[in-house]
Amino acid sequence: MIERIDALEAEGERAFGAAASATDLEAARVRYLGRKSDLTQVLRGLKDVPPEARGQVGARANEARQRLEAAFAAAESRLGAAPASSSRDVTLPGRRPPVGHRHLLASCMREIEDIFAGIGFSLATGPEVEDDRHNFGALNMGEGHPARATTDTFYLNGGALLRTHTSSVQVRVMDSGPPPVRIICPGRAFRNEAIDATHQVEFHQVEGLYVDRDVSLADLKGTLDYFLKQFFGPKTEIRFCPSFYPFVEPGASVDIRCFFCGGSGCNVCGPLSGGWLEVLGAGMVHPNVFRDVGYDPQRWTGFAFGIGIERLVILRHGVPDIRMFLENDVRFLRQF
Amino acid sequence: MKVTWSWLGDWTELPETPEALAMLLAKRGFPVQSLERGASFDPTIVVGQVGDVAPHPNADRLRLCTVHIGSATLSIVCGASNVAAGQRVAVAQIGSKLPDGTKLRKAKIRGVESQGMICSERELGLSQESEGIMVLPGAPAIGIPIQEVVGAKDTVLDVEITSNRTDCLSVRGLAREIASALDRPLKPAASLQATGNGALPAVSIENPADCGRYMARVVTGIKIGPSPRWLVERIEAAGFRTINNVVDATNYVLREWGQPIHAFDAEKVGGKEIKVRRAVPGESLTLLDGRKPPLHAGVLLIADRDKPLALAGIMGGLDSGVTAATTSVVLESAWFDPALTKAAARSLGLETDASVRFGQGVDPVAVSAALDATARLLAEIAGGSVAESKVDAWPRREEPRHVRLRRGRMARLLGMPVTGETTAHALATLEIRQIGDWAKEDGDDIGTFEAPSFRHDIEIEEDLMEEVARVVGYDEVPSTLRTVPLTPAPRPVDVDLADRIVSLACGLGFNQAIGPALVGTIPEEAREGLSDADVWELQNPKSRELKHLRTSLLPGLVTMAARNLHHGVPDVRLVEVGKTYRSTPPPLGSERSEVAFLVTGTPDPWNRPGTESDRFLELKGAVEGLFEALGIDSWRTGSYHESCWVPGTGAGWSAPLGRLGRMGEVAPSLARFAGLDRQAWAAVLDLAALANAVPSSRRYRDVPRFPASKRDLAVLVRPDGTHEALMETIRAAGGPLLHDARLFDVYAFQDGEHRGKKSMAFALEFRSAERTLTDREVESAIAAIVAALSSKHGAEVRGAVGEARRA
Repeated sequence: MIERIDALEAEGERAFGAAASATDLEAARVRYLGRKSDLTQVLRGLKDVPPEARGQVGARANEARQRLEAAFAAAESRLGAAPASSSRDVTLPGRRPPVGHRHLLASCMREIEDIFAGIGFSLATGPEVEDDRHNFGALNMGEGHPARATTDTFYLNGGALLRTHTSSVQVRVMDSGPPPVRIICPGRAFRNEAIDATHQVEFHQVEGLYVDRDVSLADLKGTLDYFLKQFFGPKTEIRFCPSFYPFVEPGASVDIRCFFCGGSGCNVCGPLSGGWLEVLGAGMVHPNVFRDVGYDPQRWTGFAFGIGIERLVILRHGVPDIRMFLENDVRFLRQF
Repeated sequence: MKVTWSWLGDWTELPETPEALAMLLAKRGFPVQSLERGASFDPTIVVGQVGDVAPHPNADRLRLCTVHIGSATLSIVCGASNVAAGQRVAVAQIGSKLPDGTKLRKAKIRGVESQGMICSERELGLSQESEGIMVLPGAPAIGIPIQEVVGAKDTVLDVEITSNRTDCLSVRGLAREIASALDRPLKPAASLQATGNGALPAVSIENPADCGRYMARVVTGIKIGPSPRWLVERIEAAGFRTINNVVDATNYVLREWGQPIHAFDAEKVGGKEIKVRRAVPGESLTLLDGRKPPLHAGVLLIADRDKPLALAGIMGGLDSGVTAATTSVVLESAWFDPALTKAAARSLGLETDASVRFGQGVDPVAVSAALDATARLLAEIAGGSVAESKVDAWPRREEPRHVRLRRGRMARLLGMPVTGETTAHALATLEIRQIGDWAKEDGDDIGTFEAPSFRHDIEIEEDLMEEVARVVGYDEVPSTLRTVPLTPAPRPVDVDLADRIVSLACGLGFNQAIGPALVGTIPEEAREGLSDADVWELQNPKSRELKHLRTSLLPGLVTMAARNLHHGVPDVRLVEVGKTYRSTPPPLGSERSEVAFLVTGTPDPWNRPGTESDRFLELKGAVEGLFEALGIDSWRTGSYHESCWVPGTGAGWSAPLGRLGRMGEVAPSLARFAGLDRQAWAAVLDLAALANAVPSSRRYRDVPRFPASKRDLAVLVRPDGTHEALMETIRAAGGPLLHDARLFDVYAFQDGEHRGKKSMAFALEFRSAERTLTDREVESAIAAIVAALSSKHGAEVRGAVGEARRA
């Protein structure tokens, strides 16, 4: 039986190899692979083969069939035979169900939340329409602080205002319970600014706050170093420079090494930065803030930071204009 | 603050380059925003001497000059009226590069060739405005490069000063920071030769709280005139315009010392008497700018025996001001109460450089040095003689502030120990001196430090800690990530749900939009059920387009869709989860999160083949698919009319705990409002209602083990028979064995025998959890359904009731 199969295989391969036309090839196909071919007969006759030999013969017969099919296919392509009527143009585009995209800001915001969740920061939210105390007073921005001016802050009736930062949420959280507190507060904020490619009257912020015993500036550095490396990549270098925000002391502005030029200076980081890009503001919570919410500044210390989401996203993804975020051009949305 | 390189160099050593200075200042918290590099002059711009000056043959205003530049004699056409034979001038030759970058080319002016240009100060970049050509003083050698005469142009730095460091809004203040960073001493001020005569006015201060210190000096024999070029260059770089040498000197000192100085014409101070007093209502004073504001008791005045001379710390009076005829001046240097000065300036609408600076609080100690600096400058540039005596009324001398610093606490706050010696030295470079020595107290190491009179921002020990960290360098602070036991709170339910909804909606093919909260007009369609009092309106809007807080996501979404279609996006499917705002209840109003969907445009013909699909049902299906994915299963729909929808297309979803949302075809009026010229369909859901409807947990239900019996049932009903009503009847009549019923076809007859009726075909699935159902059981359930449909809805069974044959 096995010899017969060997012979059929050799014969068939020769016939396919010798076929000079589609007609020859079809004749050979019928003869060696057709329903009435010898090989098919052999397979049909398997039931008569003694069970102990059946496996071996069957395997050999199948193998022969596969080889012959391959030889047929090779001959077919050699002859450029027209594809059989049942074959399809597999290069046609698939019929796609509509695919939606998350807004770039939203997905980055979620990413930032997840990074901080990973190091134990809970998420807190608060209202966008705020009162003076939560937005200014409790944040050591007393009467007459310049940020309160109508040229900086949008006011509503009855003393309400649109929060100028999500720092207002930290006040609400501290008001609501004792330390330790470890939160981030993402959300929308508003400033009465001249609108241009890098300034919008509405923008998004993530405020962070950690209050505990002996929280230090070094802890702040470590936390932001972790965050920025997660967000911008593990090689990100960071730098703290002194800065001023009324609700922190000491205060810092936080820079990353410019990833466009690697720190050699370019038009993104500017000629004077020494290759650094300012990305956020931070500092140690001012004792007056603690006093206002009833925390004892002798017992507790803490750090706070404020991240402008748009700025980070613009830097990481190269978005040229902050106004694109609220315009929602689908051609922009679908890129991310 | 803009300041020139050489000016800083007068007070401190500097790093090698302006760029290095920018880095140093950034690390100190003073980022340099821009740097205008100093220019050197093209050496081909040389000193020339004007020879003959003849009229231009073809132009009345032009002149033809011969100019000797040593190596050559040039014929130059000049338009300046002040050109005269014999003058030494700056000459740019053909090919010379001017400081603004332009190259001088050979040119014929009105038919006569000009072989060069006699330069003005503006053309040389020496001043922002100038009249006529620059005539060089003295007799510089003809032919030498002009740079040797006027020097190189200075580098200008624009330094950002944070609002806590107003002491650095002065050259000396900033120089102090640089000196500290380089650990070098600040250079001392030049000494004043005050040996002249001159009668001093007598000074009286009505209220020491208003005016803590008042000093005056008299300079006689001055000649009003232009300032020297070096001074003009510095004050112009700082943002002042040059007026005359006396005014320029006061502005120079304001920028150098941060101390506003006022100069009175000594002749105009009546009775040689100066009174610092509050204004009496009804009094008036014509100011330097010609205005005559009504005065009130909140305004502090400088007056002589008879009349007001100046608004203290704000602006001088016209009559007592310096004029071209002034020969001696009384210089005033004072400390006025910051709050009073600020309030007075604001009430009069007169916020000046001086009032802003007094409002920040000047250094009461430097009042004296700044006065001397002004007097010395006038002696130098206006030929004055400084009278030997001076007035110094200092009724409110404040004790220096002492701040205690605990070194142990500092180490814990900074996360870095700093030795007592390093701490004291760091602070000393900023003139913050330690009083006594470190002392042990309560297990900590305590030092007492004296805040200098110019540092109002040093109040508590944290302020000192920041100073120590700044001097030691923020880079020295280590970086530690605290790992402490975590008890993070779960994500707030609404945040989490909003996230899930957006993910699901993206899966359903919607692009997430984030629209602006601030909008212009709110259309009627978005204020249904609201009164004007419910709408938040900004009191100080940026523009009419950014005036209200949105009350609904719908108009914004329609606007975005319109914009997208306009840009040529064919198929727009948007979802937004965002806040809407109401101004009630007071004081903060209420904020509600909505989920809004919108579809418009034309689906891609390849990806969405087939007949024109019903986009109403497409959107409805998407929302209902969302409900299913969220596990919301007990909701009903019904007609729900609102003005935002085309009449008859409004639908609402309700759940046992309340209304989930609504949808419809966007009304043409709203579409027009938003600039949309296509049909659009939208749905608006309430996030809080969804949160209530989402099951908090789901329990396992047995997956069916016994086969189902499937039957199709087609019925003819009147056109008002709604799917919802029929389905309810079918469910009720089908009893417990009816496992599932769903519509698979609907057809409205336009003509023929059934005209006016519609056929609805339902797929019914019967099953039991315990056994295989018998035909009899199924038949009797169907009979009950048919009977109920017939009696409740007048439905007739149409076609076969039989085993489902559909694939």
